[in-house]
Amino acid sequence: MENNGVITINNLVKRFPVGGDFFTALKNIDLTLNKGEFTGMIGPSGSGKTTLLNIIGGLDSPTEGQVSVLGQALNDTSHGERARLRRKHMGFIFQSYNLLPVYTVFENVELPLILNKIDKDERRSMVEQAIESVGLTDKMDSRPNMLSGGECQRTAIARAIVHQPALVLADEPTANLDAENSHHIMKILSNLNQELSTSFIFATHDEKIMAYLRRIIHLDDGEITEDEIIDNPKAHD
Amino acid sequence: MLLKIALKNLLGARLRTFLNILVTAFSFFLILFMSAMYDGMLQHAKQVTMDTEIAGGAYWHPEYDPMDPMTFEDAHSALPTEVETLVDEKKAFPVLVSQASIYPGGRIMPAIMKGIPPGQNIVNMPTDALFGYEEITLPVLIGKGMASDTKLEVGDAFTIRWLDADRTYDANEGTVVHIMDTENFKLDIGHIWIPLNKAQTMLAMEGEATYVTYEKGVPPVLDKGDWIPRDINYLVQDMEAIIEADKPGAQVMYLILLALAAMGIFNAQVLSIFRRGREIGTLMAIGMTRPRVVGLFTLEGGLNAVLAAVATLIFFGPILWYFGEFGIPLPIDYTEMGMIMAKRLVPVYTIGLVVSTTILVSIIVLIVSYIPSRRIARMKPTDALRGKAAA
Repeated sequence: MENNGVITINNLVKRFPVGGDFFTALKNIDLTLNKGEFTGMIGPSGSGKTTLLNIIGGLDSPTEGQVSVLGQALNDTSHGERARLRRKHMGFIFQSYNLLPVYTVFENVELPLILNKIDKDERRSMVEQAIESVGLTDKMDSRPNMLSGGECQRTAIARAIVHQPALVLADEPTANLDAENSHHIMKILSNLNQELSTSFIFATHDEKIMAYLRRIIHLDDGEITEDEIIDNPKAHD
Repeated sequence: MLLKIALKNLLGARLRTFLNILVTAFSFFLILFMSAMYDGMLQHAKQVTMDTEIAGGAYWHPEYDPMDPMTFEDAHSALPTEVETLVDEKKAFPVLVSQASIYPGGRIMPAIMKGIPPGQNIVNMPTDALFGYEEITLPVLIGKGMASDTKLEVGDAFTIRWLDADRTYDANEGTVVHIMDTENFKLDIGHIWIPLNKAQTMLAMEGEATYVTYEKGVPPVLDKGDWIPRDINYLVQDMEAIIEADKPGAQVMYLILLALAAMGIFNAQVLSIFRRGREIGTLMAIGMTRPRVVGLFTLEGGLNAVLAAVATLIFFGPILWYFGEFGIPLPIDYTEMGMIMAKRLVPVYTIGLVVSTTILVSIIVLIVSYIPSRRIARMKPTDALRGKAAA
């Protein structure tokens, strides 16, 4: 992790068995992402965005090719090592939030720190800081069923960034939100990206998100069709 | 760490935890209750036999074999000196046994006629009912089962015919003076009880007896002649053999109950765990390893078992206590069926039963938590995240 290369992908292919045949979800993907990038992978449904995101997160494995994340070659790592990589250096944001329903906001955000065995006092201060950064201090003791969609997603963001990961992977983070909440969420994420130098990768086809991205990778039918660098994102105008 | 998360999960999922615990606690209760009832039934049978029949043990005439009525004719003699001393000290009482035929309502029935001292208080039999009745030739005590078989009621007279010591048949009229309600069918079915002195006179066996029953705690006598000492262990061996023979049946019943409980707990746990597929996927995504996921859910199962044990105590403890204290009335009188069964069945909760049931139920809960969580943890995290059910 000394160099700027956070993700390096070479010749990635992913096939899924479908009936007696195989469906190729990703075809010969070559990609490099650097530290602090705010990148979106966009494309229609079935273009392979989520599959690519899952492979980068070590939740799925490539059929062919090399994937290196934060200096670790995922092809050569065990489930346990990939879990460790996620636990220490990655954060996930899901379209449907995936908050644990029986936990409060505080406890949901605290969970990655418990897994990382951070001591209680430090944990409390880190959780409070993360919750404050997403503006949910007054909802700390609420359970997910008492929160709006936007608040749930802000909780999920706090959980993804609480352990200050090097990389945050967000799968359609605004798909279930209205326009106002979507912009609010993207502003939070954009600010966190600038403050923490955390790299963010989004899988999305939400137009509203694109206005915030500084790099857009277009995917179609499992292939990268365009890799676009945005010097001045519209939302920052 | 896992313990902390498991506790949080259990306490957080209030209704789910409550229902899981309730199912386990109910299974716990059922196994405990049914097994305790069964143990209680066997222990009661043994206790009744000791209270009403065996007391501290007996000395038998060498010819006496209770299983062979043909031996009764010769099974009588004067008591050995030391045994007689026990009787004089009211630490023992003699019984004279003979075969007889009775003619209730004109029918003929074989019976075992036993002469017993009405004043004995060593065994729990209402023999004092035979006191008095100077106007009656032969007062007779019978059990409810015998009364039912012979259609005899208190005050009814019937002919009794017997063979005396001189091998002469004689007959007289007996009158039912009391019908005893005993749980020991061996005192009841086929038996008529008369005062000992009358029996000795009728049978021309003055001062003789067939066996002597002594009270608990009496040390063995040295001069017992050729009479055979029968201690409690010997006298309850039939009962213990029945219990021993019934053990496989009891074990099968216990296993069936356990299997039923396991199925209930398994259903509740599987439903609970498989509904949490997305949660498992999320835990994996944020960095929990598969063994830890399995460990977490198994630990939750273990805590579930501990809480279920506590819940059993809280929710079902009063019910268990109530039945343990007051028993359950049985609608049928089993005495006539040749079974020693209490009118109220009282469950007996032994430490062994409670401990073994707790351990077994806990192991079941751990296994049924481990199997589905291991299965679901084997899923691809991406499938688990989508909430896809494990195949």
